This record gives sequence, C-alpha cells and structure tokens, in this order.
Amino acid sequence: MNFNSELMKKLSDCFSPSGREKNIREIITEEIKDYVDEIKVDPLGNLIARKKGNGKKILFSAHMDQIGLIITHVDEKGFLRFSNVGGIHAKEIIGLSMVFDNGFQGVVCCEELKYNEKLTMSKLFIDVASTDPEFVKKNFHIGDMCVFKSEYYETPDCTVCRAADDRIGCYIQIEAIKSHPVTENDVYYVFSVQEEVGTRGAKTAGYSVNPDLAVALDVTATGDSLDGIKMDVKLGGGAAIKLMDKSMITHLDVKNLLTNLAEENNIKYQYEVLEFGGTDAGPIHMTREGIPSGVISIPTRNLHSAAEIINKNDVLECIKLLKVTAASK
Amino acid sequence: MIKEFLFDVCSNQIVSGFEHANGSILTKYFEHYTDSFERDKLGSYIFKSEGTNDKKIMLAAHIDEIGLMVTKVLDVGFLSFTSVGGINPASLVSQEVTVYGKENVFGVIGIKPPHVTTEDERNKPLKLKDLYIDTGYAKEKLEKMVRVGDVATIKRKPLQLQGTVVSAKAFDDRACVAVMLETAKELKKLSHKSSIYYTATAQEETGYRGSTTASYMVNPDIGIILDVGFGMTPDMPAETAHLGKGPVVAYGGRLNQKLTKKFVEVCKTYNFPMQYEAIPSRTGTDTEALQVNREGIPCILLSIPLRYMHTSVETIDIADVENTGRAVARFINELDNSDLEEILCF
Repeated sequence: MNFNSELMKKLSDCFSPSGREKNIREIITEEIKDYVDEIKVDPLGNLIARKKGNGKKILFSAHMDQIGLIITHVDEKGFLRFSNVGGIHAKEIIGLSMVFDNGFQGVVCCEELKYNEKLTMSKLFIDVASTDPEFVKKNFHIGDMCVFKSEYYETPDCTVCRAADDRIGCYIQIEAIKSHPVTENDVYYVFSVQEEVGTRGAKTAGYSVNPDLAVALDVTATGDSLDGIKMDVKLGGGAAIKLMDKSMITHLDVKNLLTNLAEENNIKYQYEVLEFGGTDAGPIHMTREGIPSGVISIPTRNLHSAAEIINKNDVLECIKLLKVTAASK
Repeated sequence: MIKEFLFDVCSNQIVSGFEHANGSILTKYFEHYTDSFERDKLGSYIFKSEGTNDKKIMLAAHIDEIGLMVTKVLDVGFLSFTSVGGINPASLVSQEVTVYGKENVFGVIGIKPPHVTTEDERNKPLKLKDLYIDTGYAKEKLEKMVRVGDVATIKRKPLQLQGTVVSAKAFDDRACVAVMLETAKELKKLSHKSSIYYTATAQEETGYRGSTTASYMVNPDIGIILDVGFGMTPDMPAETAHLGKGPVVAYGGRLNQKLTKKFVEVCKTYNFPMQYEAIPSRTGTDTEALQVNREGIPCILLSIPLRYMHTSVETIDIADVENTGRAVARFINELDNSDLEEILCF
C-alpha cells in the first residue's frame, strides 16, 4: 500500500472545526459509503460506519474535528475578537492567516503590549483586511469559526499539514475500510465530533455502540525534535501503542493484544507514554461497565500548530496494525 | 487481623491501571465474609454479600496507589519517568524504588550534590523531569528488563510506630479497604437485609475511573464512600482532623444530608468517636463519580485521617480503621431497619 497523498490533502484541507463537522463528514461519507454495510449519523453528529459480523464487537474511533478560533466580537473597523476552539495558545498564532468557511481570510495581530505585560488571547485580534464596514458586517459574525490557513506540503517521507490531528486518523480508518480484512468481528468505524473541546462525540458513540474492545486512532507528540518534549516516541519509529496519557491508562489486555499483533505481523511499533492530552479512548473506556480500550497513535511534530509533521511510513504501519486488530480473535 | 491485612496489601504493588494483574490478594481476605465476587472491566473488585430485600448498598474504597511510569530508557542507563497520580517530586528524592519490568529491578532516585547546586536552583521547586531512576545497569542490559510504560513504586516496608499508629505507602486508600473488611466482618455478626457491595475501586488516583464503571455496574441505592483525609501535623491548619479520633464525616453538596445525619446519629447512639469536615464542592474522591452515575446515587463520605498523603510514609491510626468499620456496619444495620424511602426523600 502506498500513501495516498491526494486523499490526505483533501481531508486536511477541509474546513471543519469542532461543532462544524458537516463538510468533513460529507467527504468521508462519500469515500466510504460503497465499502461498508451500514452508515449513520448519530444525534451529536458522529459518523458511524459498520462492517457487520457475528464475532467480537470492536470500535475504532478517529475524530473529524480540528482546532480553530471562534469570533466573539466584530467591530466596525473590521477587527475581530475571538476565543479558541480547542487547544490553541496566544503566543503561537501571532501573524498567522486564518480562513473562514466562506473562504474569507484574516490575519492574527497583537495589540501593543506594555513592558512585561503578559500575552493573552484577549490582546489578540483578527484583521480581515478591509476598510469597508459593509463588507465586514456582511461577511463576519459572532459565532463564525476559522482555522489555520496553511498549504499542504510533502517531502518524500513526510507530510506537513494543518490538521494531521486528527485527519490522519480519519485517513487511516478510511484506508482500512477500503481494504477491510476478512473477519467474523463486528467492526464499527466511528468518525467522532468535538474531540478537541472535550472528547464529546466519542462519549456518546461509545455508549451507543457498547463494544467489547475500543481503539482510538489519534496523533501523539514526539521526543525527537528540539522543542523540549521528553518522550521516547520518534517520527519514523512506527505505529505508537499508547500506554498512558491524561485520559486513560491502557488496559493491560489491550496493551498485550496490540503488542503481540504488531510483533507477530512484523509491524514496526513503539511504546508511548504521553504526559499531557487525551483521546477518544478516554471517555470510551469509562463507558457503562467499562470498555477495555487502547490507542494506536501517529507520531506528530508541532502538534496543534498550522504545520503538523507526520511520517508516511508510520501511517502505513498504523493501517496495518488497525487491520490486524480488526481481525483479531 | 486488620493490621495483618494492611501490612500484607501495602507490601504489594497495585499502581492505578494494574489492578487486574495484582489485586487478587483481596479475595484471600474478603471471601470469608462475602458470598460472591466479580470485576468491572477496568479492574475494580466487587465483593457481594447477599441480602434479603431488593436494596443495594455500595461501599467504595480505592485499591490503586500512586506510582511512577517509565517514559524513556536513557543512553547511559538511567530511567526517565512520569507520575501516575499526584506526586510531589520532593518526596521522591533519596528514595529506593522497585521498577516492575520483565523482572523487578531496584533503583534509587538521587539529586545533584549541594556543592554544584546554584542558589537559583535551590530556590526553585523540583520537577519530575529533573529526576531519574538510577539502577546501576548499563543501557543494553537495562533495556532487556525495563520498557517504556513499566511502573515503579517506592520500596518501603510497612512500619509499626507507637501503639496503634502505623506507617506505610498506599494507606491511601487501603486503610479504607481495611475499613470495608472490618465492616464485612461485623455485618456477618449483625446481619443485614440490603445486599452489600464491597467495592475496591480501580484508578481513583487518575480520575475516579473505576468507581465510574463499577457504580454503573452495581447501580446501588446508596453509596458509602471511604477515603483518607488529611491528618493533623504541626504545619497543617487548625481545622484538620486528628489521628485516633474516629472517622471524619463530610458535609457538602456532593453528600446526601439525611443519610449523613443518620450516620452521625448512629455514631452517637453507639458511642463511636467521629469528627466533622465541610467540603463545599469537589471532594477529590470516588464520590465525584458515584453521585452522578446513571440516575444519581445518594452518598455519604467518611474519611480516615492520614498524615503525609501521597508519600511513602503515610501514617494512620488502626483504631480509626476499626472504629469506622464497625460504625459503618452499625449504620447499615440501622438503615435496614428504618424506612429508607423516608430517609432518601427530600
């Protein structure tokens, strides 16, 4: 299997911050509808696709939403005040271009700071580049969301894009659905909503599917850059099997299952302990009487930035691991 | 018996997330006083004592302890680690630890010599990322025994101080698992009509996770949450509870007022010592999970006073454990003989 750059570009370039997942849901539905037995959208907006079987019930989950900004105030000069949707820090976005669903753009600017004054989100504003109050009034409203405006870019082994988190998880599930293994297992592929604002979609999807085993597909940080993050995961080190983050300690049975599957099938893997963050597996494993859960993570540099970097080979290893898990006894 | 149980269970490693693998020691003690046993899927142990009516009372005390988890085997053979649950890095310095890898590996956590520690460094709080486990092994050998994700605990044997005061790691919250054991023993003598679920919950230290799933599974009419509370030392505020003066009864929004009142009445009637505390919002216990599970569960919260919480020298008075266990048994017996609907209605 080769890396399908065209598909990943399409997924990553799609505008769909948390709570506004309509666009990405339509793209994914179009991609997978001919390959699954059932497909539905639940009341929160999760897309739940099913490959039917009589065996073990397995849920895979990747979130469709991406981080962004939400407009809180529009003034007549065309300056927009905003708050963050998901984890975005003020100091990391000054000077970045943002794009809205309607295609219009704005630039994140900062008020003049006094000596030693702390930079907070309330000091920032978006300049939409217009001197025409009518244009501003007509096209920008409170509640509108915008996302990073950045170009998809590739090197021979890596991909740089704005929403690897977690469109790469969606990508992996789509590729797995298209080449779904022969198995008795009853497999649910969830494309969840609102992960970035508190893993909300996964909570309800986990409750409704109530599987025997759940595995989330999401990005994780790496310790191989110069950004000071201390961990063992590295780009190009293969699929990362998560052992702990702030939302979950991986069930030992699931740790052993994923490890054994990787070793038996010569899938390149690495163990991951993440000291911050969480995934869809967080709420899912605490559903009802508890659901043994794990995460297959995609090592990613520059998480939650406009240019997240992933390794294509890691992605292919993740797809392999997902598929053998889907067919596991 | 309570001391034997406590010393036994605290000599074992049951770090959050590892309850499944290591908690079976509980059955040895609880099976004498209970009828059946099951687990939720996260690792909580639920011992059931059958009743004669259709009411269910769930006791919850968490079995997991805080610990360390290996994040990286470093080039020179040291281990980087993070915490599982809340740990003050200062409490780790100069400790011996056991790393539970393929085999148990012993190590120590050191700190830079004072001679080369600058004034600036001395004034800053220590961080976990500044500390390492030193095992003495070369990297090649260490990698064969320890992997990322393996856990470690401080290596320390339970200590008998004076009288009934004892000290160990993991009395948070095994002191209260011992309370449940005492209650089970007492109720065997007193009899009960409700079915009692003695639940040693998993993963409390990482966010009340086991009690969330276990209480969903049990779906009780009443929850009795047992956890440790802060015990008095010279540096603690005046309202802090004292060791040896009985369970601390909590008042606050998370707790059911009438049930709490009933417990206080029972203690007064039967001359059990007790203390009080006010918890306006978050209790930091399994109550967080139980109160809002399913349709909601009326709860009371009782704490055993404990000094030096989340260190390896957690100190309690066994008399508090025994008194609390007996008071809870009497409370259940009295509840069974009262009109529960009346107590629970607002």
